[in-house]
Parts: sequence; structure tokens; C-alpha cells
Amino acid sequence: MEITTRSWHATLECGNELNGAEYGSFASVKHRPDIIDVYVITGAGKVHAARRPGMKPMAFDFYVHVAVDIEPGSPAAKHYKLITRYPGHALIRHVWPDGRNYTERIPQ
Amino acid sequence: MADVFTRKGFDGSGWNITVGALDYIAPMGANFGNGISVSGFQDSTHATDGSMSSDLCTPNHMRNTKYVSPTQVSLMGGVPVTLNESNVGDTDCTLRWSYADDAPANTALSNVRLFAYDGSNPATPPSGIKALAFERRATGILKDRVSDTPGDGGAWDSSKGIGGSANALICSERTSAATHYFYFGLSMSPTSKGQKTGKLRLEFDAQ
Repeated sequence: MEITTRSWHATLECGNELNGAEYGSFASVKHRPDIIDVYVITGAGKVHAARRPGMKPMAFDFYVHVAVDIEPGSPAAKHYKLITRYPGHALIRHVWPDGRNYTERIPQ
Repeated sequence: MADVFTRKGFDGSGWNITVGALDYIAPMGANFGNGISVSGFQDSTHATDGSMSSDLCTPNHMRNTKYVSPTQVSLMGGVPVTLNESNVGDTDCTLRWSYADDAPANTALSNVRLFAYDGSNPATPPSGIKALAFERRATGILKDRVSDTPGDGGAWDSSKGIGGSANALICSERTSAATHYFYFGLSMSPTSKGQKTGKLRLEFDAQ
């Protein structure tokens, strides 16, 4: 399953969804206040952005993390980063195409 | 995202030295095959293959940026100069690394980091090597590490360096574009005798 910067899906308050195939980079929609969820589709099904129970996120973000060795070069290792922003901190869910994932919390 | 990466060295007239997928960048003494004294820095930089016996950039070699001090560099064996964007141009740098999404799709890059590691564990510095680096931009030279206080410039400091992911060079972020070019100066020093190997890794977030 190929990882691309267009692999994201976003759910809106009204129930509609946006996706990268239609809207391109997540940068084109990241400032929308009506996004309530972001997810990717993996070999194990949908994996959603991390959430804190009882707290409404300020915003979401989506990146593809790339790691490539310069010498000798090798295929880039990539995974998704689904980011949920809260006041003072963010949750980053790192997601691999097979569905493996873990969440880290970082101050902001 | 089928990515397109290129690694090129400048041969004096153009970015014509290709560091292929299985090639190495080899810091050496005065000439290809010459050793570097322990605690000294390289006098020449070459592209070589997996056998480490062929100079792939002859007769015009890769640009050499030899560490002199935290604020100085020697370019191609010349008199040391202050490490700044006026004295060091893109074409003075060891390596031009480029990235493009061949979808094609423009991408913006953030959290860009360069570090050296042992080839197995990104957190582990390469054994027996002190690796230093800077990124050259038209607006300045970048040499702070993620572990530095801003302004310390530890990536180009022989007492520090970019060994291990925790000491990665903080590279420039890039706004949306089809292709991104990074210009790196590299300098290496053996901390003990014998042949050394390691890997340079570039990491970034693409959007």
C-alpha cells in the first residue's frame, strides 16, 4: 500500500468527508474549523487521529514522514503522522501502512 | 508517493557526479585511497562504489569542505575562510541532495534533519567517526543541532558533530514546490585507526 501525501481522509461536522485524492495536500484544508476527525486507510482498516477523551481538538494535521539514507541510498522509509492539536500540546499518531501505530505527546 | 531522490556532487562545471543508490561518499586523505590521520579531517572527498576501490569522480572530484574550526572551512584545500554564505556557495558544497514527488505533486517540507549513524540504529553515532555538516542557504549557513541551544552551531564543531539522531543538523524548512534542493558541506574525522563505515540519513515531514 503506497504512502502518499494525498492518503488522508477528513470527516466534517456535517458528516461529509474530504480526502486527499480530491483536495490534494492536507495544507489546503488544515485551517477548516469543521474538521472533527482525520484518518488513513491501512491494511488493517482505518486508523484515526489520536484523541483525548473529553477534550475538543483545536485542529488536525497530516504529514508523511520520510527517512532516506544518502549513502548508500535506499528506498525511503515512510509512515503517516496524524496530528491532533490541543492547547499546549499535540498528540502525534504514527501509522504504518500495515496498521501498526503508536501515539506520542509533545508540548507545543 | 513514488519519490525521486538524487544525490549529486559538483565537478567544477556542473552537478555531474552521481552518487548512485549503491555508491558511497568517501572522505580521504590527499588523494583517493589515502588515509586520514586519527583526529584529522579529510583532504579530499570522492564518490566510490561498494568495493571502495574505484574513484567514481575522476578527474574532477567532489567538492571538499574540510573542517578547520567552528567558524572556518577549507574549500578544496584552499586557505581557510569564514564559514558563511558569501564565502561558501552552493557549488562549494560536498553534496546536493534533491527530493521530488513524482506523482507529480508539490510538497512542503518541515522538520528536516540530517545526521550520521552506524547503519543499524539511527540513535547510535557511527563507530570511530566524528561527522560534521552544515547546510548552505543563500540566507546563511545552518549548523545548529536539535540538541543545541540555538546559535551553538554544534553540527560544525569537532567536539560535537551530528552523530546519532539526537544530534541531527536542523535543516531548512521548505514551502510548497515540485523539487527541493539541499546543499550540504560534510567533513569527517576518524577517531581511531582502520576503515570506517556509516550512513548519513535525511528525515523530513512532507505535506
